[in-house]
Amino acid sequence: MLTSRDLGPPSGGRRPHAPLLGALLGALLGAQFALPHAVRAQGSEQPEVFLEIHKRDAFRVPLVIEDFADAEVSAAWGERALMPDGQRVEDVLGQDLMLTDAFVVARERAGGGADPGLRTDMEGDLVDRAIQARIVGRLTLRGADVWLAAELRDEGSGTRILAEEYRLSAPEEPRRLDRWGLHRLTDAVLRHLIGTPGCAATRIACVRASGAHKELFLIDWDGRQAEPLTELGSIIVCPAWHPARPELAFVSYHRGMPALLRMNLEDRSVYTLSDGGTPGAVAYARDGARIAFSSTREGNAELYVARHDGSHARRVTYHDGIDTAPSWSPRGDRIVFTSDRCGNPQLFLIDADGSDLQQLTFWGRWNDSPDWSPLSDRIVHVCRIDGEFELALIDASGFGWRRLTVGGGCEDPSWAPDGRHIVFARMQNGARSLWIVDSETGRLRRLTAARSQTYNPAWSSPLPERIRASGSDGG
Amino acid sequence: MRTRRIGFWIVMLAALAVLASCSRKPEPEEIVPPPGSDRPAGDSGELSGAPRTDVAVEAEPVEVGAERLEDVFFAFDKYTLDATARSALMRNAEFLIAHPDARILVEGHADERGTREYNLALGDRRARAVRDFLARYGVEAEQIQIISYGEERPFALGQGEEVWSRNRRAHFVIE
Repeated sequence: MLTSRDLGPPSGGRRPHAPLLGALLGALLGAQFALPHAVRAQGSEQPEVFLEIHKRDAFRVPLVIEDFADAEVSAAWGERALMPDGQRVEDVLGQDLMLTDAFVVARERAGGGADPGLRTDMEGDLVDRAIQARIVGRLTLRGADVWLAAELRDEGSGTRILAEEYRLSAPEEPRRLDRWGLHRLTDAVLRHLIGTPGCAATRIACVRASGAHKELFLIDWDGRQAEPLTELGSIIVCPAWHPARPELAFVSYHRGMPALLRMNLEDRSVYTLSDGGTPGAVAYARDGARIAFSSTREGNAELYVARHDGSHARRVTYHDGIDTAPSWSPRGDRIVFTSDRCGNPQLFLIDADGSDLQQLTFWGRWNDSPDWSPLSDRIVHVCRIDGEFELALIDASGFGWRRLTVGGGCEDPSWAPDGRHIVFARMQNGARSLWIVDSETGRLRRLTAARSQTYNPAWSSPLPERIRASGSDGG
Repeated sequence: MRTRRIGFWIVMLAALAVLASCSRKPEPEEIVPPPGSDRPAGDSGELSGAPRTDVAVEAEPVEVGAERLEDVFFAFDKYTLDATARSALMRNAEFLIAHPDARILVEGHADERGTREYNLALGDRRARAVRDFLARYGVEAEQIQIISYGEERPFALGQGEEVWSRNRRAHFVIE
């Protein structure tokens, strides 16, 4: 069976005659090099490589959540504190933890009682491995607000791994419990048990089309708390988050000509990053100090690198082709982008100063819309396979090309800060909606409703507070 | 002694000047108000409601002066002008030369396939190709402005080549 190392072009440094070399090697390597097409040529609807990706991940860590102690709040409210939809707090926490695709979660009454051998998880499946950690909690009151004092304990030794308090009451509405505190707890559990950043306490910015207008929306990672961010009565697209500040950049037509702008989400002040010519989306470097963007300000779509406020812009590409869609490496030294300089869109790599240009993709007729993982050298992109637009992954080394979706219609992938999940838009039956895919298992989750006309998503870094259209939740 | 005191004040004033310049934030170009304050705070739902999509054709293709200025169309992922496009542009050029006071905006559009950013650049290419053709034909540069809408303002909604081909265009607007 072909392994991931067999996919992709040969390794190496600069390839000045890349397309010709690629064709020669393609002829030599035959079926292996033409793998994206050979995958379908196997004749089955679900190629072998793809089934492997989609098989249920065996490496989710089993957790148990005990019923939370609620005496204090029950006494004060006269009833048990529940989420607005009537669910128990610990059940919603369990659902949040399951969404990470890193855990299986079982529930337990306080004080135990269940036979560990017959434990089932919250999805109804048998938990066939030993529980690794336990979450216990107590709902308390601080003034009128409900707080959750939660502990994460290693199951074998009983050692306390994490002890933290999270506010559950919504701001200015103490009686309404909000999920944000649970999202932050989910991220903390992931950080402590798996060692990766989480993506639950985040916001996903996207575009929503309504008639001729396109405005920005914000959504939580579980699809809730959706609210409009702009109401400019115009076309606003290409949102991009600053990695460390409450700031969102976007392309807007509300001034007439399109401009690349950035908005401070606390006071909603807006500043220009680039105007003159047609801009593309901005990409912030992970250190937040530099940006890369595409602009036709000099007559052709070229890449520019500038300071985070758009000043000191320096041109980086010099070719008649369209150069666009940049994305930074996690270390901030390389940029992946799309260029059609070889005839149709392919992915290229370049240093931030414009040196060491390398072609990354060679095969197929269309490779575009790259996004570089925040934690590794994996790059997700859109690949046109048999006329359909699918998501695929490739390593910055050029190896490890792997298709991620079937069904076509995929656009605008954006990595979550956990370096594992990817949010993207899918066009189906004439309508666009947002989906999240787990890059490790291929598991898909719908984020917005089928006819919501939402697309062009961007996933924020973990946030201390939920950012709202009128600032953050505060407190 | 006096020199040292003067030196002291020079340093103090210089420090104040530096502090003043460091603390000055850039003036915002505009403050964008949050959307409708009458909207209830909190959960606006899961974006389950379908927004208005009953607009059959967005940005109505009002063929302003259609008999005088014709739109031109492009092949997929191309910004080259075919014979039909060139004939139409020659007729447009004749009109513009005959009306040197006329001002036009050439909009570059792309169909929905491909990616958003690439289509913004492609629309830009198409608008420039049209402007360059008109300029070479003798139309004054100041008569023509260009803008790209990429795939953001389609003329026809839906899928299929019949719809897509109508959206791959350079659209003329008389200002």
